Amino acid sequence: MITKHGYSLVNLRADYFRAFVGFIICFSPYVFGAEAVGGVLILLGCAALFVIYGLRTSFRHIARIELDEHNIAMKIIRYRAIPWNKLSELSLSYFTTWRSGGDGWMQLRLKGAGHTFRLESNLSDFEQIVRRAVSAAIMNKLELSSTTLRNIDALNIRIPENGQAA
Amino acid sequence: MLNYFARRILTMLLTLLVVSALVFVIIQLPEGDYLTSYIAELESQGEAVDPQKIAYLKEEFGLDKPIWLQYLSWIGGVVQGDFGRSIEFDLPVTDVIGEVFLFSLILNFSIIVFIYIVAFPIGVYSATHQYSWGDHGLTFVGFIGLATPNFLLALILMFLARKYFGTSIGGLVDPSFENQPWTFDKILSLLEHLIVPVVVIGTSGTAGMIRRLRANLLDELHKQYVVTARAKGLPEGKLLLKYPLRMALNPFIADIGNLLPQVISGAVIVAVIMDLPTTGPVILDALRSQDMFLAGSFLLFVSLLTVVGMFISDLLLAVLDPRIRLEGTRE
Repeated sequence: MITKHGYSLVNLRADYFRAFVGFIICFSPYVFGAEAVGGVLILLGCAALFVIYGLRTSFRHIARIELDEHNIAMKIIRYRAIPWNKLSELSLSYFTTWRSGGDGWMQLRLKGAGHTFRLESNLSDFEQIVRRAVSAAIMNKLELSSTTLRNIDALNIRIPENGQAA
Repeated sequence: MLNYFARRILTMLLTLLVVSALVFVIIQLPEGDYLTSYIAELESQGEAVDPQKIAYLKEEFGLDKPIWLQYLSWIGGVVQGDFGRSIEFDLPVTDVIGEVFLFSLILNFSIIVFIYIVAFPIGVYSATHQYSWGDHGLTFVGFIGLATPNFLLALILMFLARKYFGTSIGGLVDPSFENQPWTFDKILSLLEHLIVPVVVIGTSGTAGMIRRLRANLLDELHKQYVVTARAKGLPEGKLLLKYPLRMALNPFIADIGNLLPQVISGAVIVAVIMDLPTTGPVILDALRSQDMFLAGSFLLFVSLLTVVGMFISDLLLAVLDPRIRLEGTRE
């Protein structure tokens, strides 16, 4: 059975907003006639960063992820697929900008068959995808880092002896 | 990672924007402005106030414009490296700060190095020799350092340096070298004059750092992995250096966020007492006289150093401590 997943606008609007606000703040001095020297140059560099961030967000917005028994596939502009039996790397990371460690997001990185997918936790059914990917990683006998194992555990995904993540 | 950097940079930018606006508004909160004080000063001296000159100064410094317009004009210049013109000195802010900025950097950087060089070995010794005579003695000295007011220590050390070494009182170089080009003799004079302020200002910081390093290292040394390593016969020196010390270093690294602004603005009172040509007294005067461009630029620069310092310390902590990762675990 094929399941389809994507990033909804509701989940991405904060990222769009950050990209927009960041770009406006960084680019406005230049628009208002400031010379491209000193701090303005640094701000222009940051503006470029926010443009890339905005583009990346829009790519994620149009991305369609499909899961079935054999593959995980992602279509942004072109179709790319990683067969589960070709999965060669899996890492699950947690990012936060707070020293307290809260209010962060997760990123699942899958590598195999010449492709690398990076999926973030605001993707619909993220946990289901992680569960399926972890099962494939166990089947392929991949070595998972301790950080990844702890994050899998944080999602309440158990890794039993028989290799099926539950 | 892009997501992380974008979020952090946006937070830093918004923080700086808010701080700059707050600084600008707060400096102007007291009634009147620099010109009001200037007129009052002239009148108290019995001098005539030329209304045309006042009107010219108001227009020149934009004091007749609404505050939001003054702010936009100032912040627009700041991003281009133009920090405005000091009203009190009638000079560009960069010229006013000029050499005192360099002296501040040298002095405060020396203080930070002093704190780290002194605090580190003492902190490690105190933790590894807990409750020994050495630990008690150094703890006592540390508490004395924490409890003694800096200005008192400054006065005593200045007197002793003058009496026994003939060091001139006040300043960071001998008066004969002031406003002279940099020579080897001037550098020697600077080093001679640095000793007292570095010891005075560094003492309290050293004492605090020793206490924190000692407490953190003791915490680590009592953890199970240390007991296990010791039971397996790992040499004591290697055991200490491998993990506990690295973990205990976290406060040193986390302090970078606070240290960077201190490099510029630290120890104002001591600087005033010792007549040090650093930025502290300049900012104090600027705040008192409501020289908003000078004070505002200075405070904004300190805020910039704080947020950049925090960012650097976060990155360094992630490198130093294997338990802390930008890409870590969700607890």
